[in-house]
Amino acid sequence: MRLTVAVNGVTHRVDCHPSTLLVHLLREELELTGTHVGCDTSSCGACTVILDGAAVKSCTVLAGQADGREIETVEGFADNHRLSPLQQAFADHFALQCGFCTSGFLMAATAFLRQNPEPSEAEVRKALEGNLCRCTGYQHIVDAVRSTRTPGDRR
Amino acid sequence: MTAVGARLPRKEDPRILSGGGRYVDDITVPHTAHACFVRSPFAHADITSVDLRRARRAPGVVAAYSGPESAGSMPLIPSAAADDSPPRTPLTGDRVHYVGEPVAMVLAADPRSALNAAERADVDYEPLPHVLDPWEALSPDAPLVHPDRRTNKIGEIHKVLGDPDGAFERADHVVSRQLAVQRISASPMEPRAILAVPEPASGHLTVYLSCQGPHTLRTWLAHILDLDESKLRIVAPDVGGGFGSKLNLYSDELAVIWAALELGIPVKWVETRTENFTAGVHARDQIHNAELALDAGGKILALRSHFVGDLGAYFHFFTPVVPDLTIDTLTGNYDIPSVDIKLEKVFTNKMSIEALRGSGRAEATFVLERMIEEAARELDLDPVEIRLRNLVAPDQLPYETPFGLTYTGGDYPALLRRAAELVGYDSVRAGQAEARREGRYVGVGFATYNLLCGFSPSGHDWNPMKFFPGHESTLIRVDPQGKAVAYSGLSPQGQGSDTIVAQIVADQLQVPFDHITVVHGDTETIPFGGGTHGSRGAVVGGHAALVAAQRVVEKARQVAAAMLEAASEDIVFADGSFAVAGSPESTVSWQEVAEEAHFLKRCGPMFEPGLEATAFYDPPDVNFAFGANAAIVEVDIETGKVKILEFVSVDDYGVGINPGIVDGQIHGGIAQGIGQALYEQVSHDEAGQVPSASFASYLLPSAVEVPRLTLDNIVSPSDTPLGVRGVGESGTLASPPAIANAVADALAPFGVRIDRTPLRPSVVWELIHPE
Repeated sequence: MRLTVAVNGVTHRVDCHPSTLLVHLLREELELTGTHVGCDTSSCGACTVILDGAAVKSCTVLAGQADGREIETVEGFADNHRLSPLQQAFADHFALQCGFCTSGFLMAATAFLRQNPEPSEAEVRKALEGNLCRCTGYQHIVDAVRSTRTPGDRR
Repeated sequence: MTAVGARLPRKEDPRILSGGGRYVDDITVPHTAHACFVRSPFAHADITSVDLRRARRAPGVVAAYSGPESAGSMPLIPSAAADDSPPRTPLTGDRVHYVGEPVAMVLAADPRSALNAAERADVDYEPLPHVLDPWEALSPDAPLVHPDRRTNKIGEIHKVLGDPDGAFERADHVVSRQLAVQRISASPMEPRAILAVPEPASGHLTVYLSCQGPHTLRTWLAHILDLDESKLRIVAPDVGGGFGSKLNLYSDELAVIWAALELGIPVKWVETRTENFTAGVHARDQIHNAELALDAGGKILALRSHFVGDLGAYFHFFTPVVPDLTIDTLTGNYDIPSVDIKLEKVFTNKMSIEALRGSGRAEATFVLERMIEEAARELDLDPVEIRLRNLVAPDQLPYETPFGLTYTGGDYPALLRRAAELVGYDSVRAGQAEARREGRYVGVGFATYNLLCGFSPSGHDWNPMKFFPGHESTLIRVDPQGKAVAYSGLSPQGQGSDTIVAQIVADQLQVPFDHITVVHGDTETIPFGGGTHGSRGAVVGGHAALVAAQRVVEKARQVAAAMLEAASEDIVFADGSFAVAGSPESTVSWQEVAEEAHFLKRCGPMFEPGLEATAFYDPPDVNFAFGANAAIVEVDIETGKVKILEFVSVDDYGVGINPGIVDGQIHGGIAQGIGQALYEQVSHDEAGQVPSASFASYLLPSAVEVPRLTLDNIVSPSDTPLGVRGVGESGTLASPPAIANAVADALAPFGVRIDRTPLRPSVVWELIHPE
């Protein structure tokens, strides 16, 4: 099937099999490998992207469902090689270790902070419940998110 | 201001944060075939037939192989830790021994085609009786996992030291419990992944592998496949977590490499999460029959534990020695003069046990700290007080344990006292009584830990593995601008070792932290190293960086002396420049020396050009870190749900190179410990299937389950040049028993015994409602 997606502000016209998942479209067709696959049950959140403003697990979205819509991925944030405020906060707070889950957390937290810029700690933890991290114990991630009022828009 | 000790930002982060991480699945090579495995659905069965004709005709298929068809051409995979490894081949020959064992492999143009084709593989099995319970495996009429061995028992170690029998005879109290530490999974967020790229014309092979130690695996791979090590390159790019599970060369990974060499084309395989739970190694899985002998005052006279280690069906890298580590660490930081410890190791029809963050020591800590807690209850002693009466006191140092380990540093009672203070122990009991009046069940639990780490001096008993170095390496190469690249043999999976190596080197070279670049994870560019595991990054790898940097500075000093026309012993190196002692106006800068070292415009042929040095650092001894944890939990007796209200960790990690990294290591370790205490278990049903083979049923703690953690430290520098102690595994040791002890405390009114983890709601509810 043919579809049109706007990824990080760039419009792509692609031809893919109807069974293609959004995460595979991003990783394999568009070579945006910052979005990762960590499980096969939509449990880990490593593949989280923002679809028309909402954080979604891109392993549970068919590429066809994204036709005509806007997608943001981790590659869209760094503006002129400067990290977004949320990305910088992750660095400042040691909020990543192996980094495999990190882009999923960045996307989930970005979508959340745009709706709720001054969340409580409990609200942040609840908002990130769908993303698993095996390295950090979450505390530095929570601190990074809470220190960021404006996560940053795509460039 | 030194870089060591500063909370400097991680060098790794900007690239990863902007989506530029390069994990194995992100690396693409043209004309790659993608592998998919056909795996055993049985715990034990004979393969009666394999028919891959339909699979081979499927769209996009390049090739398909099965174990039975390839018998004879596939290599045997030995264990690094034992000579008598049961025969294991990349694809199993005629019999399967656990659910998930690879039987056949299909290669296709893309992963989806490979999966579709693999589903057309036709394999017939004749199921055999299997054994899953380790005690049952030891009984004479148990089904045999490997019939030619005539027993499932792998071996036995029995250490009787001091006078345990006498101590148990004269003890005022004997506390006996059976305690189990369940089977768990490392579950790194990146599953295993491999891309093997052969160059048939030259005989070279490059393997991109999500692993923890590329050099060791290069030697093993060359050994197993009879290849020239010089033509073999292993690259560990960004690795998305390992925790011990990626130290191996797995059967399926070897099948991928074997096929790439057979076909002469690149082959890639990325494990699914479901596969990771069945075909990725497991960990822990011990059952202890433990006894403590105590006098009337609560002083421990002896510890006895006869325990079984369920090792699964095969030996992977460390499998047969993992539970050995439990034996010598069973007395922790306590002064226990007599021990009687017996370990029986058995085969069962499950995936192998392997290293996992804290392996061996976490099991020991759980058993010891649960036993002490139970003793406190039976003797009606305060849990902190009984520990203080038994911990090795500072004036007992150096202290030799019955097992011959020597502790030289730390203040173990002070660590526990601080943890008690931070958790508000003085007011906990009053709060607990008040909560109980409201029908709420709150409990407090403590545990201390001793982390034996920094594996391991070559030739030391702790390093029995073949082709497994004890050393770590660093090559430092300074450029004419005076900036440097450090090539570290560490192979991190998120530990931040690029950053700490840069901190160590920057201080020695007296250059800004930003002037140091660190490279790791490539056998082509990096001197032979041991990789990252066993809390050895700073302890072993840090010292390799230190010694290499010192050698570079020594060469620079010689060049500076020649430039200043002085004797090198009169040269003082301070504030980034070299000066002649006594004549501070006579100086050359680091950058001037670096430039001169390359071009020798002033010194001429006095020196070999260049400014670089390599160090292989073999630690003189293992390393120890210590700490104490305290947890306050509330148990909902209606549902059995345990909520952690407070968690405190007071750690002695020696000199902390980077506080942000150290705290992160402890946080992450505790989060894994919380998982072990409350949620995680690789379960097998009666057929040996693994119903917990997904994150939907194997529950990793999320940000909601892990509470805010309170950290503090009491630092005693180790007897090493950097003064560092290990930290990577610290958090995993005391957290499970601290939480289990808190649950036992909360449920004291019900008289329940906590003898196993995870303490899931259903388990806790059944403890409260035993009928």
